[in-house]
Amino acid sequence: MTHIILNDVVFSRKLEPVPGSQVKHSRRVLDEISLSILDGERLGILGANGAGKTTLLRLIAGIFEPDQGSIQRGSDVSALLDTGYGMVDSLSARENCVSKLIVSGVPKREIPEIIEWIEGFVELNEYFDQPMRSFSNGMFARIVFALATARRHNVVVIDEGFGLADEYFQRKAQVVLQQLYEAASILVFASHNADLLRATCERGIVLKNGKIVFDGSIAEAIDFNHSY
Amino acid sequence: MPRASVVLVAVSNFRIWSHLGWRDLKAQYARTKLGPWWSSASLAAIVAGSSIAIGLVGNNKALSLTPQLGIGLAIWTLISVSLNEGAELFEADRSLLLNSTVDELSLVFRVIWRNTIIFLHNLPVVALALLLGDYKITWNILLLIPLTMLVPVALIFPIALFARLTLWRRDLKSLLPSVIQVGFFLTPILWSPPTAGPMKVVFDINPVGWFIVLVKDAVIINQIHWDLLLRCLIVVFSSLILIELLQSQLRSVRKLI
Repeated sequence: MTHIILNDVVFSRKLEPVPGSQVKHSRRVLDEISLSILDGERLGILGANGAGKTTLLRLIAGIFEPDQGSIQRGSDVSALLDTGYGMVDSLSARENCVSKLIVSGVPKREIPEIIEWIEGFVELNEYFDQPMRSFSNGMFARIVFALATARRHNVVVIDEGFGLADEYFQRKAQVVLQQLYEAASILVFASHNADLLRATCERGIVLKNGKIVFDGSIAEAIDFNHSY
Repeated sequence: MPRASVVLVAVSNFRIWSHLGWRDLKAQYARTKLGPWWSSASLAAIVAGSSIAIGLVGNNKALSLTPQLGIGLAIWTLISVSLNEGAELFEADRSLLLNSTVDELSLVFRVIWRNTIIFLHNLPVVALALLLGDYKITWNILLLIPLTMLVPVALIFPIALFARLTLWRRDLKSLLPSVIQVGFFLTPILWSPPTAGPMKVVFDINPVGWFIVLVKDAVIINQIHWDLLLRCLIVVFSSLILIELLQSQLRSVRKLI
């Protein structure tokens, strides 16, 4: 059964010393986080910038390892976190997509079909075979979005900072996101957008200074976040 | 649960790092006509230029030096470029590290792999250098590739170490090219190791020189230095043991980038 369980997870980062000082500080980005996300749950993560939302998503996705505590993942995780997404701008969108799929461990035989889907979805025509350095931000975002959503996973982790393109593509992307949400057993979504969270999630947590200060329904979490 | 060997995990990710290595070369040589053969052209020019210069200065027949320069410079290029590029690899791969679960050592393997591909592109230049230097072909030429392939394995630990040190102290990124440049003159590429004196001591403490002399002498003068082979094998196995210790004891570089 799909689940994610965090037990007393601590994740710290060393801070660069202030100019003129030799003292190095360390900061707990996440401080003794315990959280269970069970099959079928749609969890929204709220909190101010620097509260630890993206770090929590990276821990859930297995990109970061905790300094203390443990994380149990009952399934594969797809993470949509960063618009950069490890692209090489001197290579074409097609080459970048193939490369990303190989790094993600997609079997060779499945790649042509996925590339075909991405090419059709992004509607960039001949630009799909052009170096990505000639791409606008919107074109770049189309490729990254399509690549990240081309396959279905049991656990999907999304950061709102993961940007989208123009209005036309945003509408198209919403449909795919909805399918992704429906296919996923667990969705974890970090965002500042209350409307988007209400439409997507049922449960919400609020992070402050690396701690969970609220855990309840998404409506209550949004209210708590406003008032806190 | 016992921790899996980091080297075996990286080896099992062959598909990822071999692909990334080829992709790097494709990106690096995008829109060029010669692609990685530019490296071969560059090596050919250096071998030719150095042979002529040393030959004229030393009053020797210029082409007599091309075999040892060809082999020495090809191996030196593999080592020096791998170390220089390796020192920046975690910073260069920040986006990949923060968006995927690919293991750190696979990124080290990727740097070594792409420079090994470049080395293989340089082999025609080495062959040409051997022919121009009146080299008589013997079966020992078959030792060129297996002996040189000890070098990539030996590079695993130093590259991973420098890549981490660079994250910790950025100064190293500026310092390393100069150190490598000095290392060039202290390595028997333009000279042969003497049997006594200060340069003998320099040779004895410079593992890079052991690999180069091992290969050069095996191929050019048909002499296998078993003592050097033993030293090189010790370096190779030490590299594998040290990388296991380094990766298992230190925290993830993802926290440092």
